Amino acid sequence: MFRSPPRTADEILDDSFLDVRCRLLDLAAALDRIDAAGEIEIGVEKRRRIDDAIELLGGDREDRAAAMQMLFSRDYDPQWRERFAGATASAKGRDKEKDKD
Amino acid sequence: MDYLDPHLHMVSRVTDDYATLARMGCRAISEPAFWAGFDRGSVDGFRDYFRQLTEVEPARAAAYGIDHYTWLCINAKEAENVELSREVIAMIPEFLDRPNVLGIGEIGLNKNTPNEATIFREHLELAAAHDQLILIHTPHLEDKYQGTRMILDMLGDDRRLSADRVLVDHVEEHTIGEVLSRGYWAGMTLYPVTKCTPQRAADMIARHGPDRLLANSAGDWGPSKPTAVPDLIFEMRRRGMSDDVIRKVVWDNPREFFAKSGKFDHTRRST
Repeated sequence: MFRSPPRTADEILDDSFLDVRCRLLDLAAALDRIDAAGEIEIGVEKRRRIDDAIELLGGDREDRAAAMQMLFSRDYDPQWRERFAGATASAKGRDKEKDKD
Repeated sequence: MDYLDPHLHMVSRVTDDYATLARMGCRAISEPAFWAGFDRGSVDGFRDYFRQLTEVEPARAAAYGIDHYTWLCINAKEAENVELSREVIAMIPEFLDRPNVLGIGEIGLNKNTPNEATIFREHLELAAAHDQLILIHTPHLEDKYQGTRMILDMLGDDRRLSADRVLVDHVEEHTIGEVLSRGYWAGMTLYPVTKCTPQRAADMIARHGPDRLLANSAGDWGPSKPTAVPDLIFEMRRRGMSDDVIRKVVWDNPREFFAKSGKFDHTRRST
């Protein structure tokens, strides 16, 4: 793996601290605004994902950014070609039916 | 530092942006065909757009000492109109011999639908038939991972396509590894909100190395910053990364990839 010139963890923390603090405050304030506005009705799943993401931040894995991206991603189905072929076949069938009219 | 921006939609930007780009060291840009913010209604609308990309923008860029290159296609958003897409694909060869056309792009997926996949495959067919480089748009936000995997599946299905002639753009932390490990070039897009910040791009370079990695601004009509590549240069310098590594990402890599078209020949100014 390519490595950039080494900076110590303390140097990176010093460099990032105010920025991270600011982003955490933004997050806290956004959650306060949501909660103050009452019960969530439609966005329950979205809120659950935010809670999952916050939990992920508290862990000690080395790939938090990639893991969080996956948390907010749709699943990949390796069989998608078969599914699409079925959709195309159904559409063709519908077109045929239309032609009869 | 001289740099190249491999993905910048200058048709959506004002002339002052060309002046700023020139002052910040931008020597050349490549502009993929994309969605104009509305669906165009006819193949002639695209023909006019391709004239803009191959005649008007190169002249506008040249006034500021910037070379302008381009890529042609009908984008994934408009690919839902399969009939119009096929008319556009049939018309594209009229423009492929123009001196600033590097290849077919930015093709790809948007919402990962069957129609988008059909038109993506037909663009691949066009590229293979005319021996063109390919620049690929990957979807945004929650659709990116699924769409990127589907795109890689379709690229792998066509044995005529060489991985080193394909640039997969808008990679992020969860897609970059798969793209690079399969031998493709990968583009990081420095764009607020939906894509990647200079800080995260620098992290990805540190984690994956600079080989086959490019960085672009994808500046367009949305909230974006055409001078985002210099922001990345600044961030890399701030971290103590060497000029060799920085130059590889913002100059050597795009230059090497674009040169495969046979139309791109740039040398760096001596400093």
